Amino acid sequence: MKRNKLRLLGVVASMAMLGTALAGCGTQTATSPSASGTTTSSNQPVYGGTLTMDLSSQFPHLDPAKAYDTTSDDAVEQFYNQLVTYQGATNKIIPDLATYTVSGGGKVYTFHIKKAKFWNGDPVTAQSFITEFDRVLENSMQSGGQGFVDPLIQGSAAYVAGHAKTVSGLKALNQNTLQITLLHPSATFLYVLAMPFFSAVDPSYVAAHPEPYIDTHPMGTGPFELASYTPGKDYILKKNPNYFIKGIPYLNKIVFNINNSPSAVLFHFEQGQTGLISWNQNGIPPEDYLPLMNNPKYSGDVVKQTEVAINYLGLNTKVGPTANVNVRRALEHAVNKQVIVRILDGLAVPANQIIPPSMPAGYESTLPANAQYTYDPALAKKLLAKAGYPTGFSTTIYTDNTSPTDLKTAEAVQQMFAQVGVHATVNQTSWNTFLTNNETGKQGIFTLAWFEDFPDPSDFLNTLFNSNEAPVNNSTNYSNPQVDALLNEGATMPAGTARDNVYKQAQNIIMSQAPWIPLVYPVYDAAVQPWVKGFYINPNLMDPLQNIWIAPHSS
Amino acid sequence: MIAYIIRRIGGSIVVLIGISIITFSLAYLVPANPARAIVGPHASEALVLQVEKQLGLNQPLPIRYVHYMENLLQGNLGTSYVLDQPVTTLIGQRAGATAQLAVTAWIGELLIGLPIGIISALYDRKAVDHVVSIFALIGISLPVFFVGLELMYWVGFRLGWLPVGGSGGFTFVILPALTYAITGAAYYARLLKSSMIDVMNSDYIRTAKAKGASPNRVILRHALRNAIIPVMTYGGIDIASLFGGVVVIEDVFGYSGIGQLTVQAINNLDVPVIMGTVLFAALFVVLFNLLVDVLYGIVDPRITY
Repeated sequence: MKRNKLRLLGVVASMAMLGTALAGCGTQTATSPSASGTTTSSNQPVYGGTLTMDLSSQFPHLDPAKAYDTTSDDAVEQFYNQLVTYQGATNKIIPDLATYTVSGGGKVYTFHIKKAKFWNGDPVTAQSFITEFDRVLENSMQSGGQGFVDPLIQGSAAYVAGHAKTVSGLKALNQNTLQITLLHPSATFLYVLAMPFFSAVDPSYVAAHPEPYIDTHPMGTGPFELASYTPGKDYILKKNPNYFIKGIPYLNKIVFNINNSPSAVLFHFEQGQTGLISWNQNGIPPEDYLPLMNNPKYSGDVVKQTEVAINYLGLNTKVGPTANVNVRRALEHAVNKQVIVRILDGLAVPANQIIPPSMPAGYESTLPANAQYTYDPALAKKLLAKAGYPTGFSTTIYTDNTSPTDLKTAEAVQQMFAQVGVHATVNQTSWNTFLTNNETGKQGIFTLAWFEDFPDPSDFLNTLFNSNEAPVNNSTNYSNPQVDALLNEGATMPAGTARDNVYKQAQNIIMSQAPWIPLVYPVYDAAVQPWVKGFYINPNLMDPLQNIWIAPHSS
Repeated sequence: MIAYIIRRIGGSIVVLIGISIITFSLAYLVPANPARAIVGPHASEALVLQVEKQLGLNQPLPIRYVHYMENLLQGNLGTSYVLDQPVTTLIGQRAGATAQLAVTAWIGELLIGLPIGIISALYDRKAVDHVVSIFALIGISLPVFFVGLELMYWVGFRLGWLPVGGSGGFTFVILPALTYAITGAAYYARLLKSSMIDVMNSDYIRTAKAKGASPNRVILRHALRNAIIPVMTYGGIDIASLFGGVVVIEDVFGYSGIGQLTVQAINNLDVPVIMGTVLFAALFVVLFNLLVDVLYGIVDPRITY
């Protein structure tokens, strides 16, 4: 998904540094660095207990059909289950509510649904999923999931257009068997099914309640049930004793205190009141990262992992001086990515290509000579002169206000460009305005990030460079028939080396034409108390809470 | 008096309508289509257009405004683009917390500010006044967030007497309110001091003293009552703005009030919420101004309407 981390507020957020500077000079002496909580300890898991965490804002959505931001997405995972899911911290798809077989040349998926119940006692059936697919496809639901299955599932287009009452590709063969028929084979369909959009919902519950009610009152099969929500104060989750996976969850209760003060988040963690900072994709508040790392007592509690994501600078291939490929290639040499890493407090890895290294397929350890660019301002200047801009040019870098680091990045690039004679002004707007402007395809140079929807190179290359995605996701208006052909071919190929090579080939062509300057791959971080066991980071979905247990400790 | 109040209410409605027009135009003049942000990058163009239609964004601005006002008269402030809930619900959920903080902070300011004002007026240019004035000056000069963080660190974190942040019961209100009280009290102290000094030098105070009234009676009944007018004016504006939300303090303490809702809405260009919170704040400003004007007449019988 495009960067839309729902970071609510932060007008005076940087002041947290002050608070922690104070905390740093306190009398607390450092004890031996605590053991990191990344892996399950060899100790026997303990049942019971309450895990308390700070939550930066209310969950915008708890309806799986609507949850598509980094705050809601992971909340839905606690309340609902899907047909399939990711195993632990890996990219491997395993059965969740159903086992499956694939037939018909990769077009027919048959799911055998396990015995499971919603919290209200209703059983999970094939219809539980069909109802949810229908909801996601319904235009009035405004679901971000629609584009993942329409037109892929047979008959979905007719249903969306209102020409059919049901989706012909979705069939309940019997109570517990669901058959999904696709228009063409898809190597990514199981990844799509693991997304929270396609959770089991209770058809009778959905029919009995209005939409806004469902969005705030989940009814799922998940490991935790929403016991109460006090607006502005907290969410309290209690254990689902009838969870269909035997033996979990371990915790009796989870409390999310709504609190978006970075200083308070840090103090709560240091007091031992909260077990985790950042249980979801949002990471530690940027203001709290250095104070934690600089305090030997807590630096060992911080865990990090490179995200399957990229921050990039888009160079419009149709508008302004960057329409000239030689200008774009020149600018590639003007950016020092190490500086950007420093600006991001080291929570980033320099990027040299579109596919992040943590993507299971498509990443290239070495790029062809014409697709790689070293930092070399002198060369950049020379290439600009050759491209017809011996004295450089003036331009604008567009950025948004989602995170304080966006502006810092844009300003760093501004300075680097100035060194090669390109004088840019930075135009920062709200996310909505940025998005609206960007989708006109008229923004010459812009900063943006892309976070994977699922671990497949098509989610980066096809979404961001196929000419049929311009200008919405392909905001640089990149268009190359050869690349389009490769991407369209990859879309229907079976997973494997041949398919990976198609994407590598596409990436090499794209990189040689430089519609992007890949900046950095961001690093996800979390702080985990030593007594919180079983925490892990899945690159796709953060759903560790059901496996977390609390070791006995003195508070 | 009644005629005056009715006139004032009429005027207030005009003010509120003016504010609504200005906010509405400003918010929608910024090119920002929330439809794409709602449905995400993978949605089809058809779905985006459908959402625009559902939100009424395909209509010209004046018509949208008329619709908005029609709904407003029925108590419907629209639905948040980001949180997908009625704006009235979102404001209602935070109004209680904001009111609690506003009233506590305001009373705190008065409890600290007024006695300091009286004392420094009575001991004008004496040692006591100098000491008190220095504290008042420090109070005015300290940034709110600094006081907030100090209280949070010492009282909340080190001593553990009160919650360091978040929201819940009254214990969560004390530190934010105290922060506001410490930094705001000095304004009351200075206002009251200067106006007290004026009053204390006037003839009727000399008369009151001459006829043998006790010092307490002179100060509280004769002097304070006359000196309080400018304090009331400021107090009315102060509490009105408190009801509109205290952005910085709410942010420092992570307190979920109207202020946070407003800033979030502005950051996300969530126009229905911006409209709702601006009107909510404006309503209180108008209301408290009216209240202060009415109170003038009660406190000072010389003022009639």
